[in-house]
Amino acid sequence: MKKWSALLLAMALMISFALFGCSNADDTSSKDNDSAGTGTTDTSQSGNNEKVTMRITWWGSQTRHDQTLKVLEMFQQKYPNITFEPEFTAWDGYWEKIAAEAAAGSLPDVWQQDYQYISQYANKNLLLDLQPYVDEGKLDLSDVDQNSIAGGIINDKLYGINLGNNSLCMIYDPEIFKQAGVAEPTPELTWEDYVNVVKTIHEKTGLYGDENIPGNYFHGLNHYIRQHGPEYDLYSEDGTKLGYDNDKWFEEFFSMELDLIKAGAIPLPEVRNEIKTPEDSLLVSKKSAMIGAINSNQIVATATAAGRPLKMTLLPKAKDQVREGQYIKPSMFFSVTQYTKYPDQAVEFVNYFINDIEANKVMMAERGVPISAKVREALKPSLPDAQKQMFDYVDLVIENSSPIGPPQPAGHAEIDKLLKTLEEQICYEQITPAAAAAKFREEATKILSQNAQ
Amino acid sequence: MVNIQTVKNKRKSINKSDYNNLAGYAFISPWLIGFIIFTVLPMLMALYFSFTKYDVLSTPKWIGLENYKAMFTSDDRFRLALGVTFKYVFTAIPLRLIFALFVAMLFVKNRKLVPLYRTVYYLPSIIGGSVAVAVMWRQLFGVNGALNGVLSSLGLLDRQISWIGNPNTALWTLVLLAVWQFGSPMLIFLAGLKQIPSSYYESASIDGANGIQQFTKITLPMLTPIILFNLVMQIISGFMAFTESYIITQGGPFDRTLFYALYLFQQGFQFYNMGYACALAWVLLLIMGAFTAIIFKSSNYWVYSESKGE
Repeated sequence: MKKWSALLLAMALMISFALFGCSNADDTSSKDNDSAGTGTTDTSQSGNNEKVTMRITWWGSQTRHDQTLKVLEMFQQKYPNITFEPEFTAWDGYWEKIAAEAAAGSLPDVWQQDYQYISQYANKNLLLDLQPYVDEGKLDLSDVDQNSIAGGIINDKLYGINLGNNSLCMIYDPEIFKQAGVAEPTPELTWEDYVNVVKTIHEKTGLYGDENIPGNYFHGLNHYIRQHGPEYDLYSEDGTKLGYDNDKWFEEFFSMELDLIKAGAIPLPEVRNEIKTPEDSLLVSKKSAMIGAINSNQIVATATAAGRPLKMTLLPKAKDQVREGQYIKPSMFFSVTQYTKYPDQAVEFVNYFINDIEANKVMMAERGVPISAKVREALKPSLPDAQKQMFDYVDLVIENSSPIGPPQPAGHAEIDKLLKTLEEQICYEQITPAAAAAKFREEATKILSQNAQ
Repeated sequence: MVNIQTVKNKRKSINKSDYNNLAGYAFISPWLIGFIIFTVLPMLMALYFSFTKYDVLSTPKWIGLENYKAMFTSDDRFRLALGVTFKYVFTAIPLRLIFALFVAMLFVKNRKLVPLYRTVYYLPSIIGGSVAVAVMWRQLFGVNGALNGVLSSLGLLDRQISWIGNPNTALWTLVLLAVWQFGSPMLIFLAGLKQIPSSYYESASIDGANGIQQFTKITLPMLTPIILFNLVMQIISGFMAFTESYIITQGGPFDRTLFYALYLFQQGFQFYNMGYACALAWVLLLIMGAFTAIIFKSSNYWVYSESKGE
């Protein structure tokens, strides 16, 4: 009898578990049905007032989170039928999360996109082509110049709407330059000048001349390579191989870094790697005269953290340069997922985000210089100093730039890691710049060809 | 004796034992279902993916043994990660066990406040694998960390150094973190120590054995089954260590702290080579299985079991 009662008890447990599970399952499935129902009516023109819930994801700082949430709220007031489920994180971990969601087929309806990743996701047909909406007039780009749109176009389709124009820059503290008796950098600064400036500041003040080499290991190298060939770029146009044919540029660039490290004029990677937020920056804490590698929209956060006037300037030019290395880059995009249930509403939101003047007044160009000329004009009178500097800087870059290279191909993340590893080995003299150049070519070529298959 | 006899009789009757088994399985079914859905199925799926080229964003493509071939023939970072992981496991785990045993010996005597100390010393393990501790470690051993604060106030620091970022020290800060998280093996040692009859020690001290002799002749042999258990569990967890290097060092500087699990994560979620990552995961499983098997085999020679003496 005992075992029978045991069996009964176990069955009762099982059944209760099953019931519990089922009731939950029922809930979710009925919810799914509901949303599927509204989805179908929404796509037809009549159902624009149906309740819609969309997911939206972005990365950024706390400032960006606060501002974006405010804009979402404003949008929802205007369109009460649309509700957002916002998800936001820092850059670290963002792409792991997106990849997992892509694999599970649950990408957010609208999500922030980066130039490094857009081609990868576009080529896998995960993004919605927005050009038809532009043609229909639902997405208004009439105040946007073609250059600001171009970054989002892949294979003649518009997969991302640029949220602001950006360019790499160097930020410096004019006060430290004055103390060291060094003239402030001009747009005509060359690499040789740069090395002298950094070394002199270090000798005169004992501070670091720069926090990092201009442009960092990746963009700096890319910048240097671009300057030395009209067709040069780190990657080839189709992204299946490296886009430069002479390892001399790699060698020269990192020899320069090693030289500065040995002189103590810039810090070792172990010091620089710990800089995670603007507050950590050595420039902010007055240990360095410059930040060599930072995007122009970051001037706002950096100036806020420093609480003292800072200036920004172009990356160095090469004496023998055949073209400008500097380029205007879309800071980030909004992409809409291919299989979203609410493409119209998603586009509606993106349209609002880039064109609405009140919304942009809340964000104050935190994502870079707005692409809409009308918005720029509206913001100009009320711009705080740092934002004004950024607007002027992007204007300066337009005069000193060449067109942006192709978006980074699949395999870029792995190559970026490879390059960082090699750079650190160079800095600790574990490998010579020449050997690193050869190794980089060999390994990167392998990675690119594997990803191209 | 009578009871044992009846049990044996029941075993013989197939029907009855079937009922028993059925009831047993029914009882553990919630766990069993979870185990199948969340452990067995994913493992089998990973096994399938390991034979494919799978970039997460599109459907997997069957490529046979290519992933495994690439791993063993042309992947430098795979070898590097293995090397780092072995180094970590073979330093951190013995040190942690020795330290855990040492602390357990201190706490085995029932002095005042010992229960409090036990709790306090166990705390790091509760929060051990967590992100919070990893972040704290970064604060302690970073350029502007507490350690550098102390050193520079003593005038011992002549240049800026980051203990977690310097190629010569980075791995050792992670080993130190592992040793500090000695709580759970300590608790198990403690339980083991309490099992040893005090009469053994009494008679040994009457015979004039000193502390060290008592430790080597009584404590250690009696504890070997517990050591075996701890060793196996800790080696497995050592091979799977991830959070430390992911949060504190990101595998850097130049892959000096590239733990195997971190490399696997990079391949899968950062480089989008999920098929390759799955192959890496299965190789790790085989390595851990091999180590466990070796330890179990060798246990015949060093683990003391009372039944053998009979």
